[in-house]
Amino acid sequence: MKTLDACGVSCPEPLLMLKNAFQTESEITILVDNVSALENCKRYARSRGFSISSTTGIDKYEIHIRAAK
Amino acid sequence: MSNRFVMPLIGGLAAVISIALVTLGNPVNMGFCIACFLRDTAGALGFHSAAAVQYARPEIIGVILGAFFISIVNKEFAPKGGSAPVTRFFLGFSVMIGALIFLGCPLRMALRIAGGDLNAIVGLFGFAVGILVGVFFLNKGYTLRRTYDVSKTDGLLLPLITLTLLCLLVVYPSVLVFSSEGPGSLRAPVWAALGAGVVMGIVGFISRLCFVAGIRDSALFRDYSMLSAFISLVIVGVIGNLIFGKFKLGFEGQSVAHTDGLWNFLGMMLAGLGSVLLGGCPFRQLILAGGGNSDSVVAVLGMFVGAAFAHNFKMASSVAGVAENGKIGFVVVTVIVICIAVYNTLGKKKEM
Repeated sequence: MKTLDACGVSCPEPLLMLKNAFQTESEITILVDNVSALENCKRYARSRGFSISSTTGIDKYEIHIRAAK
Repeated sequence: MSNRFVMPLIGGLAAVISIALVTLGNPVNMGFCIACFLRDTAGALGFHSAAAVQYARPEIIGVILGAFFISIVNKEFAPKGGSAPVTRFFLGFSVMIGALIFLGCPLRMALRIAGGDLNAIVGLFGFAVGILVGVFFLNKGYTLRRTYDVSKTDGLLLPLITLTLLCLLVVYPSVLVFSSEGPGSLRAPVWAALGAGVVMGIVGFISRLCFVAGIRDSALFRDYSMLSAFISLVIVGVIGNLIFGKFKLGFEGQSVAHTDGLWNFLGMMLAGLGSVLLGGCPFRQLILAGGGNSDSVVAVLGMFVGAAFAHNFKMASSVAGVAENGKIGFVVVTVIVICIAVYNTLGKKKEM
């Protein structure tokens, strides 16, 4: 499983990181540090029918995304 | 409520607010315009002396304070910065140069379309082309690199300065310069304009409304939610303008607009490209700036200086047409913007 660090990266770059990573991976964890990126990543995953779970740390969010089979 | 319904509602709300402001005194098809209002504010503070466009627009003050307020309430006020500030300043500058060649930011472009101004349709084509060029660079890896946490005061200063400007406007307006004729003299009452700005600031912060993200995200991710806000704004705007008798279909005789198709196209192309490279339209930059993003504060300052520059060096268009200096300025600025895009695409792997 690949982990992407998108902290400090402004939108739409976290989504581009996800889009590119899912071309070769089926399960990704992405770290973001703002609500805007968190919501955008969740929306991106939902729109593709991917399953998501997220945890909130101190000033950081970890989103675990699994591609649909 | 899902985003599918929320974004069209927000686009519609923006149209209603804009038409209400026109009804209350703002120029026709200019109920809300971030580029025009920043330009007017620059004039009010004496940064340029174009007599027709000087007024400290309460809408701008309201958007910044509204975004600041809601970022505190939502516990999202976390000042960040340090992502290529000088580049962002120049990109903000370039967006303003493009917008003042066209005569309006992306928000006003939508409002002009809603008012029947066909020149703005030409602008929309240019805007889309500019965004698609930006999308090309994004797909190739364009980035302005990471932001980092900065001091809270870095995020507090703009709201504080904005609050000071509001105090001057209300208590001591004689220190500011106000137009007595032209678009700057057409204005809704201060409290209505301020209230409208605050609502737009709050709604814009919560929804992440961005007028460049509509076409950009459709092209990048097939995500049409922001585009739905843009379309809804135009549809509700058309209906509102028809109801209030402000709808006038055609190219000629439109409010604060010129009919030079090539430059309407090119102006918005530059504004679209610059906005994508910045990560958001002028409205979004203002919202982010209010919410503590110091990179966006720098981009807004770039727009502010760009507006002053455009008028001091006779680059801004007018109802009479496009200025020769504006054409020269467009070429110079566009070349630099392309260089910024190329460098930050090719050089990204070195520092990320």
